[in-house]
Amino acid sequence: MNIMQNQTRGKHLFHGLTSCEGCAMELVARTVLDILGTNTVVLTPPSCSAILTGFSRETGWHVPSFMANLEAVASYASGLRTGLEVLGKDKVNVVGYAGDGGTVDIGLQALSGAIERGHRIIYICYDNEAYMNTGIQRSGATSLGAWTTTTPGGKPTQRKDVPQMLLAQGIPYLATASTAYIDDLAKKVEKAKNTDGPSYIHVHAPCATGWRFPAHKTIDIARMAVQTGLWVLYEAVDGRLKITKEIKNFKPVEDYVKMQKRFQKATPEMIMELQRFATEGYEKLAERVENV
Amino acid sequence: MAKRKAMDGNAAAAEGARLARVQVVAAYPITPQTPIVEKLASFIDEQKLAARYINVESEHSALCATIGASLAGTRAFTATASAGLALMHEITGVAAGCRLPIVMPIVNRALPSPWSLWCDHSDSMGERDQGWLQIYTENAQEALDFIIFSYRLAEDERVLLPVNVCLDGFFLSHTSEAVIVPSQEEVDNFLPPYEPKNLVLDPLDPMAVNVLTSPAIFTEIKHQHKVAMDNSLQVFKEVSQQFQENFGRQYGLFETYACNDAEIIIVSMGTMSGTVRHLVKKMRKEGQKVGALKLTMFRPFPGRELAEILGKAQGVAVIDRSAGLGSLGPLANEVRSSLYDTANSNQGPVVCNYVAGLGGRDVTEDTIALIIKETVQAVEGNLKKSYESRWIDLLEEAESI
Amino acid sequence: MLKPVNADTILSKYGKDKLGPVAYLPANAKTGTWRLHRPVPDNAKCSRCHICEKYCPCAVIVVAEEGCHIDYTYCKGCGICVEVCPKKIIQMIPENSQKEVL
Ligand SMILES: Cc1ncc(C[n+]2csc(CCOP(=O)(O)OP(=O)(O)O)c2C)c(N)n1
Ligand code: SF4
Ligand code: SF4
Ligand code: SF4
Ligand SMILES: [Mg+2]
Repeated sequence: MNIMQNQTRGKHLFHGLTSCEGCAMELVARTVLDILGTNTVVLTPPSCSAILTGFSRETGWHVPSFMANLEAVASYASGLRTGLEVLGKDKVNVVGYAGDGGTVDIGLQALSGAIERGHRIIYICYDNEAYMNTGIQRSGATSLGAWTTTTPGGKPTQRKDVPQMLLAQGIPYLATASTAYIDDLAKKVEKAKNTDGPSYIHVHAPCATGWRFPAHKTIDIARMAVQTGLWVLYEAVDGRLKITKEIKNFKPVEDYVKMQKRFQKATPEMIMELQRFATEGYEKLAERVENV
Repeated sequence: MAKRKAMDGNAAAAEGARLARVQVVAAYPITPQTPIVEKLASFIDEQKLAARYINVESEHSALCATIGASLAGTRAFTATASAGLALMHEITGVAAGCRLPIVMPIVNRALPSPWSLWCDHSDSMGERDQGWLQIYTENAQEALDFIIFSYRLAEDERVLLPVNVCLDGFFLSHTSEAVIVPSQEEVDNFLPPYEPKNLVLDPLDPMAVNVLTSPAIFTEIKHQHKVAMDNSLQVFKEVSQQFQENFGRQYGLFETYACNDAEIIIVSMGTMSGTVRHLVKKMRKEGQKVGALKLTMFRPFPGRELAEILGKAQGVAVIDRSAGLGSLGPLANEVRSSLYDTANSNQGPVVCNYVAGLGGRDVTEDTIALIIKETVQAVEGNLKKSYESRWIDLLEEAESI
Repeated sequence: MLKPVNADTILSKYGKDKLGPVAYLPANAKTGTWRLHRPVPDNAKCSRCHICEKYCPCAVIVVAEEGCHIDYTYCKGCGICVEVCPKKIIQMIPENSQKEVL
């Protein structure tokens, strides 16, 4: 008997997908669908997640999916959700699964509009900090100091904080998550699933190909981002903020940076700035938690 | 029972959508389309239409949401104009490629630049090769009728394509006329409730829609689309027959007036066609052999059918309400090319292209009279059979404006 | 109901009859051929903690009573399982080497 028939995890995506070895984007997608189940429709934009949606007659998803346009996942999802509700199919989960570029840059307007309208859609952004599918170009989520093909000297400015923008806009459920903390991610997807309105989860998803590190380090690097304070795990239910992974002893940002070749061009000043960003960023969030 | 009511083109289009029982409306306001989306929002609010209205934040999102709703399996509607349509351009190909029977009025307005609020066809002409059917209406009755008609056409299994119903901005959209509004029952008898026949996003039958497609089958999928375009000419005729039986009004791919023995035929689209017909009637009384041909369906272009009529004339004047910069006007290009075979036998008509009515300029009886006069001269050999467009309503001091 | 994995069947009953760009077959690239090294667990020492299973991006690990099983048809050899195994009992072994065990 084929042992894989006993598979319980990740089975709503087929095997044999051509994403790179060790791809966090693929792992996140499998985890998300484990929680949501098959009564789900997924929308992906052009991006690495499009690999999952398929090519010609073959698809990776066990559930229906749609290949959207880069800036429009949330708009298509709005219409789909509304149409399903008209037909009484309210139980179907409508999920946008988009990269950082499709979310924080070109797709931000559509996303913000969909959240304002209050559709019950689950929007997951897997953040690999660049436009990977077009060959590693800078995005609004690329870290300060990181090399990409369009920031050959290291990105001179800091990434933008879209989860906080959306939180300021007002959204029933929002969370950050990390590929290194799969159980935490799963819990958050569960909450998103049960949210009556829009929900947004922003998942840090290291990319061996674009960040220049060996694939087996993917999880270690994701964890290190959290342990340095560069990526804080939190959630906000109706705007009430809670840090879901508190860090007591921060690792130095230096340790994170040196695991990846993409930071080779970063100057000492950039690294110092990243360190400040990590420390102050975490503190600022923590303060807001206590003040609630 | 049908009722007679005074309404403008926008109100008629909105009424058509209501009678077609659209289930989802996603739209963004833009002059001169705005009253359509306002009307539909009120219909829904007042429960005169059982539909959901999605207040999108752009036209790009309007069409995406309309597609999403259509893929869920509902009858979906949106409307736009000018810059809004241009913003949608990336998405119009998706609606057509995914074979979704969406109906979208375009309330024609010039595309910037210069900025204009007023009518010409440069917006819809920019979409002419995106694989939508395009229907141009002349009056409010047609605007109402063609919304209903177009859903029936779009949803036919041999077609499964989205349709643009074009209304001349202001000239039609904001001009009140008497319209026969059919009863809901009459419309229901003509247009059954929507049942998706092709691609749907349904967890009970999972499929991936709009996927990246290999060169190995891309051409074949496009060809399916081409076949559907071709089919739609025949389906149009069948739907038209049904429409006539149900409502008593008949629509063709184009409408001819006094063309049988006409030496000169004027080809036009939209509201100016009424003026053309009016003048032709007058001139006929004076014994001049002129005729008028109003084109209703521009996409697909009924070239073969047109050539049969136009091929017999000596001169054909094509009025384009868009500049067609860098070439002839788009309508003239189509007409000339459909007459190529007749022209080769050296008996074909002289085809003259007139650009007129840009950015809201009225196409007056005088303008049309001048068009006819010049075409007659061209036929008589005073003007050459030339491959160029003549800007007929240009002010004399054009260069110094 | 849906088949669990890589059913060599058609995913959508009706997809093949549809017009337009539609995928209705399961993706099935034999990604195991990409591998330079294969992960080999020492099941005698495996604690059945399921952590490797949870983190394998390709979902090709099943931890059962008998221990950790890997589907080499699709395992891309990324080595993540090796890193996350708390007992450190998965080893990467070069493909085509003498040490190959399976
Ligand atoms: C309108 C538009 N502009 C540009 C592109 C080209 N494009 C395809 S994928 C992509 C980058 C996407 O980056 P991201 O969303 O971060 O996803 P990733 O590739 O990193 O997974 C771009 C720019 C496109 N498909 N559409
Ligand atoms: S480039 Fe990065 S995100 Fe894209 S498939 Fe490869 S590892 Fe995954
Ligand atoms: S090497 Fe990578 S793909 Fe293979 S079993 Fe381990 S984690 Fe999975
Ligand atoms: S992680 Fe290691 S110990 Fe745990 S189940 Fe996998 S192989 Fe066994
Ligand atoms: Mg990215």
